[in-house]
Amino acid sequence: MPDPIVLDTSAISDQGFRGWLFSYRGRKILPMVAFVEFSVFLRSRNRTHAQIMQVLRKLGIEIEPFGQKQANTAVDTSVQMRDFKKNWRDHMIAGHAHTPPLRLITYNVDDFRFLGNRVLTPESAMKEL
Amino acid sequence: MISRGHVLNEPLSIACYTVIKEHGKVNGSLPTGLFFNKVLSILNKEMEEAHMPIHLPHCWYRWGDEVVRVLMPPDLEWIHEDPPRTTVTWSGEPPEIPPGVVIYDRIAQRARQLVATYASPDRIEELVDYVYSYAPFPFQDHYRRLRTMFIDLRGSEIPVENLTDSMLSPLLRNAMAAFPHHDFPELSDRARTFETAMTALLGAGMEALVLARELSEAFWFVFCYFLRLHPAAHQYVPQKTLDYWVANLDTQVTHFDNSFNGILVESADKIPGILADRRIASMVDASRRAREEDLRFIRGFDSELNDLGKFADTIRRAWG
Repeated sequence: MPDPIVLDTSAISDQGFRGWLFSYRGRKILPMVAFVEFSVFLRSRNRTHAQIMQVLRKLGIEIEPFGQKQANTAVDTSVQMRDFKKNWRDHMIAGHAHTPPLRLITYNVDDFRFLGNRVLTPESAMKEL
Repeated sequence: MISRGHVLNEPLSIACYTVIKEHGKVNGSLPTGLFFNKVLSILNKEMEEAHMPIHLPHCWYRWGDEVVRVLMPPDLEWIHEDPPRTTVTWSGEPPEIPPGVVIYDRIAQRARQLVATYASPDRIEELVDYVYSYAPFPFQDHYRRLRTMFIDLRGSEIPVENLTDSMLSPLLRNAMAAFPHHDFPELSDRARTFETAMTALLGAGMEALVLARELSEAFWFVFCYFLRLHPAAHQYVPQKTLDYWVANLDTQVTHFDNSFNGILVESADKIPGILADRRIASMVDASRRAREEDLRFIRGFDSELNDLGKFADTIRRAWG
């Protein structure tokens, strides 16, 4: 099975990546925080909750709750980077990519540099995965 | 000292702690997740039969009987330093074993025996065999044999015609003949189409082997999402957890259907020979149509989603 990937909200904005995502057969995880951003945005564009859930299902994306495991990782990386006040949401999202082989796909690679080589842009993901 | 987790379930804490401690004594290392899960499964079964239950929250899943981690004593810790080889440790104070309490003595004694018997690496298969001997459905054990063969063949794609077909096809047939259609009606049709597609892929030579392996795993994963919910396949799991597992089913079935369609279309593109079978040709057509329809639906969101990045940047800057 292809490796599981974790999606940051920004990654889903690219049309080409969405096409690739549809065909990617590994697990595709949308962290709960990113789901809230994704949903608030689409609801502000008059999409219904049912439509939002359906497009995620068609893309094969599963929404993952923020649990103890994710929280522990978010705490560790926040303490390490000392930037919780500014970047708490990034740490909460990165918490879902807690262990290899999970990889985070985002356009804001710099904000997640604490994940090392487990953070990829959508373009690199399309080439490497 | 009894730490916070043990107040809820002392027998379970004693079982976990003893397995970890004894493994350290016998092997000088922490038990792997696989070893820990299997020994706990046996302890749970045997102590239950002896009317001294340890109330292990567990379910049958991808690698057999597994503890449900979030429901285990909080002093238990899973270490993922080497991802394929998770180890288990006890991070708190050892649980106190009050002397003279029969159930505690029996648990600790049996845990020590099991570790002494199976801790050596060459006994792990025997341990797994024992656990699968009481799996709720014979299908699980048959399918395990297919998965094991796929794993054994990995990396050694020997270009010998029909080798994989002759080794894997009988295992597939045996497994699918034992598929519990009555207990998993939601997967019954999918099991039949899956077998047809797998049979075609296994007969299509080495090129199709990678796709067959992927399809086999996809089917196993979706089956396991249903399996762990079956009343015969879980124990001491609270309704709240079961509800969460149920809520996830729809997404997982759709994911399997998407993967199935994708694998079929990719197979037809790479190995057009498989289209000679009319049933496969018709399944590939249906898969192509389903994929086109899904893509049309997704593209219907393009005008909005193309602006999603700007929105995400703006709100995160606002918080910073």
